[in-house]
Amino acid sequence: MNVSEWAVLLGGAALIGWINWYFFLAERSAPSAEESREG
Amino acid sequence: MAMNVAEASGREIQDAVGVVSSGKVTIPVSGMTCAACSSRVQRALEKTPGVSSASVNLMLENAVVQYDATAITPERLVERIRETGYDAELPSAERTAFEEQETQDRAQETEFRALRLKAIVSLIAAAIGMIISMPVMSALAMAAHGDHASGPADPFMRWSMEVIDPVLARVFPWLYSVDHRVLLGVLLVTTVGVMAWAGRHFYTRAWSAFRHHSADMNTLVAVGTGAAFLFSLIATFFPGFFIARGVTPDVYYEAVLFIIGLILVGNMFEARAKRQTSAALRSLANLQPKTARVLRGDAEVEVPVEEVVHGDVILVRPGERIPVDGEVVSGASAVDESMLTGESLPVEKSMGDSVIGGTINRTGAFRFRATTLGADSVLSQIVKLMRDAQGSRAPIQRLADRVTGVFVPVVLSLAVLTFVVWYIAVDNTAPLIPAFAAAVAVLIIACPCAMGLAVPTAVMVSTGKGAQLGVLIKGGEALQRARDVNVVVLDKTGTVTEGRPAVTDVVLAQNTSWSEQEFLRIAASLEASSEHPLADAIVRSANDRGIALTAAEGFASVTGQGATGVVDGHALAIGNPKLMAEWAIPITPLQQTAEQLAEKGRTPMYVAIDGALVGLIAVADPIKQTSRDAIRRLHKLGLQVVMLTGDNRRTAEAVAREAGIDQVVADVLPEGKVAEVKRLQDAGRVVAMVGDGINDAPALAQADVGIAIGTGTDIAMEASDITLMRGDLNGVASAIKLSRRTMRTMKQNLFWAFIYNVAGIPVAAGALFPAFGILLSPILASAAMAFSSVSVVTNSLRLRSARIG
Repeated sequence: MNVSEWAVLLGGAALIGWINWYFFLAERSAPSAEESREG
Repeated sequence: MAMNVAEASGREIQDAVGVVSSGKVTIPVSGMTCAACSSRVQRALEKTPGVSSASVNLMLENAVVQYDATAITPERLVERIRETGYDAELPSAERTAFEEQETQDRAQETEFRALRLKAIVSLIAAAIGMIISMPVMSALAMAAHGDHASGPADPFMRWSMEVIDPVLARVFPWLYSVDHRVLLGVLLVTTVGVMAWAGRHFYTRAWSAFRHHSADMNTLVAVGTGAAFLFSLIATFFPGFFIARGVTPDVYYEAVLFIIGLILVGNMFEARAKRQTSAALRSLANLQPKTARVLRGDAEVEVPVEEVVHGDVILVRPGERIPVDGEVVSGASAVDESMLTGESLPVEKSMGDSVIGGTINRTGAFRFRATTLGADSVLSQIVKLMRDAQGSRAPIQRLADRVTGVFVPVVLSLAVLTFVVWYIAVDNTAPLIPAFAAAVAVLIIACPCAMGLAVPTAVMVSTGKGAQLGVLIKGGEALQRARDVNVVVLDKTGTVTEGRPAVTDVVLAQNTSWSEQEFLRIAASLEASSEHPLADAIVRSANDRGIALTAAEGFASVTGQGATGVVDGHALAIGNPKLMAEWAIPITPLQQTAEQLAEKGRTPMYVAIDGALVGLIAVADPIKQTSRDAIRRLHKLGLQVVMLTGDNRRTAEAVAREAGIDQVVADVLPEGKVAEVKRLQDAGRVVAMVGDGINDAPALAQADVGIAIGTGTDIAMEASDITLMRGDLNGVASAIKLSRRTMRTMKQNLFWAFIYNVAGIPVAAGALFPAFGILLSPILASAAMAFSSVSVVTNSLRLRSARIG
């Protein structure tokens, strides 16, 4: 594997991780913050 | 069974703990395109403080919210929905179900027209874009490789280059002499125009979903087309970057145009199909006439139906539709109620009878007094019941909800994975292009819409079909439960039988000089003074035969025995053997006949005139003409049929024998009916209870499926899951058959929606490439995606022509 392939592999893994964090994990913590903001 | 939340609407609910200020509001929501959209709005509402429950319906495009009025206002709920990226507005107060339906119809029509225009324009732009792309790609391949043969990586465009390009070069040779940079500019401007106008909502909704950590179909379309557009933009402005690496700087403008166009075509067909699923509801709402001819003073005045007030006298001529509910005050006619009850024969109406707004007057003219109006009218209530039913969720929907909830982020991850695998695995100097095409195809082919539409469309079409058959189904849950029923418990009186005793036999003793006519006249004349139901049956029988009665003298009712008195100078005694014994009248000559009649479930009454036994009159609650056939149909469906009754065993068994019922439970009180239903349930049976909905209400509620038999005028059937508009047991078989058919359709829909994604995504990712060299173009992926939703809706629409009745 050359440098660009390593870059794509690592970048892809990071992006998949971020997608799953953003839509599944960050989503769960968001409403509690929202609720506390709204009272 | 759930409490009737509609009753709590907008009112203060006082409970045992104290006063809780609770409200319920139905908010129209527009812009939702798939299950992920509706679940996003639902989640947002459920997370809002003060909201106790929320149900968002994709098909009806509304949100039904129950909330604590001290904590939140309906205006804030609307704002909350808008924050999720969809449009919402508060419904105006006091709207009838018709007005709500009309508003929804208008909104759906507008949506359909807008989608059609956008789809047509996008597809025309895509076709032009494809034509322009040919010389552009030729020129770019020439620049990168020094020949025209190195076609684009996209398989669809490569095919186009091979097949269409030579034809195009002959038809429009001038196009190939235009500088390809000018053509690229035209493509860019066209694509930006289509994305900004026709496809704008994909991007705005995707962004709004993203901000709320959510993703839906719009996300996939936006990311797919957005990535293709950005890639093309770089290739347009920095072609040298690609050419220096020996790669053709392919542009995907035409793919973006085609994807937007084809997905809009899919949305357009979906919008039309959604309209068709509510066709039954619309035709019910359309039954309401716009005007009524009201008697004001001595004049007939034609007024809008909204201006009719309680107590107005309305005139109806033959062939006209009855404008509102009411009671006939003069005249007589036959009224066609088939549109509401499914009953094919016209119903005779005369003074005192009730008529229903929306039904058609067939033969004579009559006048009637308006009784229930507006939102309380029978038709309005049926439309409301249907709208609620169509908006309800079937439990099987949860499966689809669970999948769509995680679907889009998983697809986004798969698209990234596809890109990485292609980039690393392709033994090519230019892995970027095929990796990119495959990733975009994965984004575009994934279709959460089909999964979201699988269950609600079937519920909508099925409840509409039920209404046409005179079977009002409360919703998806009732439909699903009815499928599993294996025992049908029937109440006897009013359900299996007419519920109104009638004279079945008139038997004269041998050697009597009385004629049957005269015998019945004198007996009925005496019974006319009685209020007993059996006496009423004799009087009705005489009236039906046109026999004129005379007044009785010295009438006396003997409790538990019968009645005595004098008619036309003859001393009469009508009653059971006890009464005859008291009068010392021997009953032997007719005793055997009386016993035979009792065996058949009839009640024989001896009639003695002037101290001699003259004859017998037998009265029974006759079995409805349709009951026997209906019970045969239930047996054919593999169901066990049980009859419950408060009557004695002999009468009950006689009725059961005649109707063909398997099992009888006699001498039961209303609470005993509940116990019997419970006993069957404890034995593992799934029970449908059929009753008239009044004294059977507890048993209807206890049963897995409560089926109330109505007559069209009585639709206060809140305790039941299914209401039969016609007093005919055939509706029970129809309801169960319809539910089985609907569940089959739902399962087919879910199966195809899942299979489509399970098979489509790997093909788009290039799973077939190593073995067969097959790679899916993003353009074909968008066509397949559009097709998947349409095929699911079309499968549901097949229920409309199912043979159920």
